[in-house]
Amino acid sequence: MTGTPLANEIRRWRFERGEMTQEALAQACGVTRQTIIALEAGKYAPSLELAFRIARAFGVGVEEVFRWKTE
Amino acid sequence: MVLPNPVKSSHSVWLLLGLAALGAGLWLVFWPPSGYSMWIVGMGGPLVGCGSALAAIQLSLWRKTGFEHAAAPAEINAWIMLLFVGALVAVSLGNADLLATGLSGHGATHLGLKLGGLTLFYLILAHLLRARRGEAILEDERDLEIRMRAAAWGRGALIFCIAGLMVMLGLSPAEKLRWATTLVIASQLWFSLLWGWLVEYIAVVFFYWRDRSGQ
Repeated sequence: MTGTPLANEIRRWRFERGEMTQEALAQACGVTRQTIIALEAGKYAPSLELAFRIARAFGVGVEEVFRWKTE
Repeated sequence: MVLPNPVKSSHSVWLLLGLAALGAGLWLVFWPPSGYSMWIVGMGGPLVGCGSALAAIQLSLWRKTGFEHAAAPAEINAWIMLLFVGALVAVSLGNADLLATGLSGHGATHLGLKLGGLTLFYLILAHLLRARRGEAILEDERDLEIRMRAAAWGRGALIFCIAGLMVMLGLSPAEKLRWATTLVIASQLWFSLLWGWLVEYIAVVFFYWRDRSGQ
């Protein structure tokens, strides 16, 4: 579960959404806060469904939240 | 004498009372004092149940601890299961001679009390933790993935034990297998099962720890 090839902008999007808390994002996506922590730290690659849920919680497209690290 | 209301008054008095009952119960279950009647020794199981229930209720009324914020509910559950399986292994190893030579009525009662007390303790703790968490999300896809990977480790450990037992019983000459009574083989299968569980829950807590520590 370490070394995922996905990078994400979850922290930035939380900031841009008025410092949305990890707990609030977790509840909006139906996961635990610890999973959001693991995602932000880049230790966990989400399923396609969770990636879409997170992007939807921010009101943006999935490619604006997740990208390949090589890009 | 008016007892303090467990909800409104100081939690610590009831918590200490619960922990004392739990401690006394565990002492009676695991180290039964000789010279006392079966009735006193038999109080161990109910004391474990009542004490753990009282202590857990008081703990559930306290504010959340730092560990509860840091660890996912599934991780806390895995720690509890690890402790429970560890205790089962300890009790089973402590009674290995009983399991190998046959259970007398007295021995079966003692072993049953120990295992029953432990199971009761685990069930009460698990139920109260579930009640404390309320509507919170208890498990998500990351937890399931960790559990699946850990289950593979547990399955591997179980297969290793069963295959070893199978090879030993299948390939050893009959005269070298006089010790292998049905009861001994049953005990070894029980220990194999416990070993599989133990490896599985060690793997679960290890995976959570690795995720958090960033290694």
